[in-house]
Amino acid sequence: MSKLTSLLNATMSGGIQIFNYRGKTKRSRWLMPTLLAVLMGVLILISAVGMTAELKEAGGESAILSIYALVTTIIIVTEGIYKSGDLLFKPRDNDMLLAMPIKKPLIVFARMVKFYAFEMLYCLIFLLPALIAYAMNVEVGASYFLIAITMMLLIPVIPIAVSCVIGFITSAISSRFKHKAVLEVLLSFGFLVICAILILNVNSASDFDGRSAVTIGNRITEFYYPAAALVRLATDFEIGQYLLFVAINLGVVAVAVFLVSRFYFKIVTRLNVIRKNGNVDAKYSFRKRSQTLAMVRKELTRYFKTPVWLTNTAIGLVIFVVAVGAVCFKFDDLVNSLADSVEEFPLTVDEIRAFVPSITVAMVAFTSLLTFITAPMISLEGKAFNMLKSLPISGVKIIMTKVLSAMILIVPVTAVGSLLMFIKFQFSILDLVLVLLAVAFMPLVTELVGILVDLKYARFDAESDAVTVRQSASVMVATFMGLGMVLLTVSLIFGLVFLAGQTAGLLMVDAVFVIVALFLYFTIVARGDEKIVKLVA
Amino acid sequence: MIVIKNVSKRFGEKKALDKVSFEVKDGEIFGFIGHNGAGKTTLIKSICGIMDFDEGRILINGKSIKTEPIACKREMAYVPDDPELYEDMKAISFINFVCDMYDTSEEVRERNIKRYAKMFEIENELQNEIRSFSHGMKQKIALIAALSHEPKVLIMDEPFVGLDPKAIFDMKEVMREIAKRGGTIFFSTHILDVAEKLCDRVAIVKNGQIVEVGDMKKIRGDKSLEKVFLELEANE
Repeated sequence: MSKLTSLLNATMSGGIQIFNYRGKTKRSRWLMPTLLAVLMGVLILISAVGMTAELKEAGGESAILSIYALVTTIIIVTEGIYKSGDLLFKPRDNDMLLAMPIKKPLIVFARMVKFYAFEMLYCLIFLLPALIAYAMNVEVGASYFLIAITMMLLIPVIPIAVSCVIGFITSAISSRFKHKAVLEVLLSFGFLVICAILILNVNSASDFDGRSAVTIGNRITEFYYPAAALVRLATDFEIGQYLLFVAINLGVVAVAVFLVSRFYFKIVTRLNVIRKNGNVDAKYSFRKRSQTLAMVRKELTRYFKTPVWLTNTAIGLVIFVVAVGAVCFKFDDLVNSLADSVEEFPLTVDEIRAFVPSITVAMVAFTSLLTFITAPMISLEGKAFNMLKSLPISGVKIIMTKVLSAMILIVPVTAVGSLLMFIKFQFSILDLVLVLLAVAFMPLVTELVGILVDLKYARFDAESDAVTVRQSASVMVATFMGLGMVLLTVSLIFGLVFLAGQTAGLLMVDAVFVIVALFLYFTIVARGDEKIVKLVA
Repeated sequence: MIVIKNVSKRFGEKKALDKVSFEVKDGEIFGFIGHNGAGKTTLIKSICGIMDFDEGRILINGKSIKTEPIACKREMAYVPDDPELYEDMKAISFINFVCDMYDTSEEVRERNIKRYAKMFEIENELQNEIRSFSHGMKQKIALIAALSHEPKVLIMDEPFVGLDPKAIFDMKEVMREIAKRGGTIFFSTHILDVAEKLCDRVAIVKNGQIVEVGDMKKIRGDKSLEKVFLELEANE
């Protein structure tokens, strides 16, 4: 076996964490994550089929391919920006591999292959439905299947290479400083903002009528080569173009591997350097705290010192803050642009203003139900979980202090945002109380669901924090559940508000969340100790 | 006092512990010896309430670890074989965290942390993050955390691995001191010389079964503990 094959075998032996948790039976290991991924894929397929039919009527069915190719790319790049540094430079087997006679480009390539294997999931969920929808609407030849397979394999390549280079830059810069984690978070956010600005600029720079998806598709092919190649090859296959596309992708990988591996050893070495405090006369604090406070302090320390976890979960809160600012200060402009984009918009600015409490609750729902801080929290304990279990603290308390820590991170942000909305729009005190109930109970439900999911899918032996935070079964299942909960909740909010009036509608939404939260809480109280006893790191 | 009665544990088809029974009395230093994979860590994890067991009973000072886990854990401290601690925490924060779990008063923790940190020559390192420590230093932090709340029962899995000779010497002194106070010490080890010199009694485990248990002198007879152990290992 060649060195590369052995290396790939070894690095991939942990599996792609999603399908490799401690299930009782072999089937239970992969059933739930697979079902949720398939469900998501089917929903996207249904929407893609409908969209392709509309595009066909407008004479631009190939736009479906460019749009979904770009969506897949954006998802991979935005996610890769903050996790690639961890995946490339911080796996636990680094010391062992660096001690072996293996060339660094091979190690970097093996890391990238593992990253790539996970990102194929996004191709299956987003790109595959578009490829199927196109084939269902357009008569395609045999070459289309070759193109489809090639694109499935190669569309993630460029975004992975780009995010690896960004991860490399982030790690290279942060490794030079004492507070590496802070730098890493700031740089990751910086790159994410740049990414968002580029996407928004591409939209605003285009002179098309925003309603036309065909024009959007055409616009994408003008600036994004893989999407252009996909459309060109799907509509008019040319072997030369095909080979050129394959060669360009391989070239990009080679350049990324060369660049990252050139400084790999230096960055890994610097990242492992932890500056010590040399104060020999240090005065230590021996302050006594309650179990709950001690646990919360421990959880918050872990959270703020794990850049990939912080970035992954803080994005939603940052978006919430931006959205509150936009609604508070640009409300009329937002409503007018919404009215412009929808034919025969039925409401005036003042009529929408009356629904601000419901809009606030919808924003809180969107933020809270997708911010699963607890989903990797038990897995992130790692082997220290055994030590924690030996301490005189009950399983239920371990679980609930984790939920409390997550609430401490989320609730102040959404509460302050909601209060700002109240001050700006002066809605009634009763509506404010209902909004604040949502602020308390929506994240509570989310975090209780998150911790229950992690209790079921916990794994303590991930090769890096990025794998636990982004590629674990618990986070993937929680994220899919969160997407479902957001859809249901937002539909419920506006459905009930229009049916029963705003105050009564919000009261019913809050009641649902209070009941669900109580049910989940009593489930944990009843079974938490037993579940913790059964988990062994 | 630790009472272990007919404790069995299976991992699928494999019996990790098979009707294990023995007692560790107050004021006793008890060594638990066996080859790799014999079941030492499984039993230790079962005693500490980290791992559930299928059959039998484990009592810590008369309380069952199954039915009164918190009360049992309040009486004991556990030092793992691989000191995987909270790497992001400063050493002093970690030790304080453990003390908080035991509701240890500020006076007791200050006295003990200062004493053991000085003994293990680590008093100037406590403000640093645990991730910056070597294996041996992490082991020392785990030991200080375990000792700082003055447990009545001390359970340790391979406590001497990674420690420097002075720390091993000091650790043995601490163990003798706790036993003298009436505390119970139960530890697993591969270092038979240490077990021979330190333990009042030992149990030898093989394939999940106790093959010998009793006074060190009685088990050893005229031979060395190493010889007894190797003979038992050779007998199928």
